[in-house]
Amino acid sequence: MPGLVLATMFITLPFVARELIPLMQAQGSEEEQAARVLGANGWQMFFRVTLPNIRWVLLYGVLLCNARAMGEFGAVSVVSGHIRGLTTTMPLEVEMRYNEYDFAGAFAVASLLALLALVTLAVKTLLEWRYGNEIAAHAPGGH
Amino acid sequence: MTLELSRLRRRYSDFAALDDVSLTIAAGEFLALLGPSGSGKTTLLRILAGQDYPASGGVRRGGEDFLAMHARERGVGLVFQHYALFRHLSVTENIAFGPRVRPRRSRPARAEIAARVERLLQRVQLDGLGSRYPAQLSGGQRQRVALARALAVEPDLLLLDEPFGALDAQVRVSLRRWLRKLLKELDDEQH
Repeated sequence: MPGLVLATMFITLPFVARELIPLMQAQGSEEEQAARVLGANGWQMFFRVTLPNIRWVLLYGVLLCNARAMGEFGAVSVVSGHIRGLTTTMPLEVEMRYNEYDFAGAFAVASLLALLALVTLAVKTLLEWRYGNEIAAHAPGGH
Repeated sequence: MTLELSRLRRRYSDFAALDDVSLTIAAGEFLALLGPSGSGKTTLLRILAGQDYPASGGVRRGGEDFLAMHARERGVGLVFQHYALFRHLSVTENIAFGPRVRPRRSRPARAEIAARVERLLQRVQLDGLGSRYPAQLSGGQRQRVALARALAVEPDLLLLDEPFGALDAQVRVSLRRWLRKLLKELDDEQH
């Protein structure tokens, strides 16, 4: 299980970083400096200034990350022990059921996965629609 | 209390921003640093505000080593050149930021902070605009918010970095007059 999480993070965290780095570069550190001069310590500076400024882009990044993690097959397949209910992810479950000739089960899990993907897409569209200018202005052209 | 700057030096790689700067600032004094861009004005202010440190030289205030103090203990208010207002906070929240981040034992009560913000809003002639966000204000208004935010921590030393640099000529003249009057009033109150 920790292995799966680790493998998935390795694959997906760059998505969040790719979203955040250009945004933070564009924003600069002036507001953080202002917080410092006004007497904020490091934590206050981060939670009251830095995090609120990047929250929507961070959420967007996490969402893209989630989308990628849901469908991730290669990395998790390598590290997973294929123990049902313990170290499987949905794509792995589909494969296992398919290999066991449980076609109905495989298609059910696959449909569920597709549904989750649609929900993610809906949330992504909602975020883009609501906070589009904030996200688009700093996103590194296309994904 | 007088602030004594002695022999400050600060280099940025191959460029000497401050070269042997000595200066004494008396209590109640109104001092302006003039010079072309790149002459080290901002560097000097950043050092006084605790954002930067000199390579050599020292600053003393009433016998204390000013540079050894943490930024928050120095009692310095700094108005940034581009104001650096918190864009996700309203005008009121921007001004209240300083008092709100104090450690619990020295933090004023909520009502006291609100009253202080209200007073400052009146003082900088922005009453009624407290719920606006920085993006909804004009340049001159933003500058006054930045000033109120710096004053909210009741600083002993108020630093203004190019306070009129980002404003058009007309606003500049009226604001300069107004600022001089305001600082005079503040100074009279303290003595």
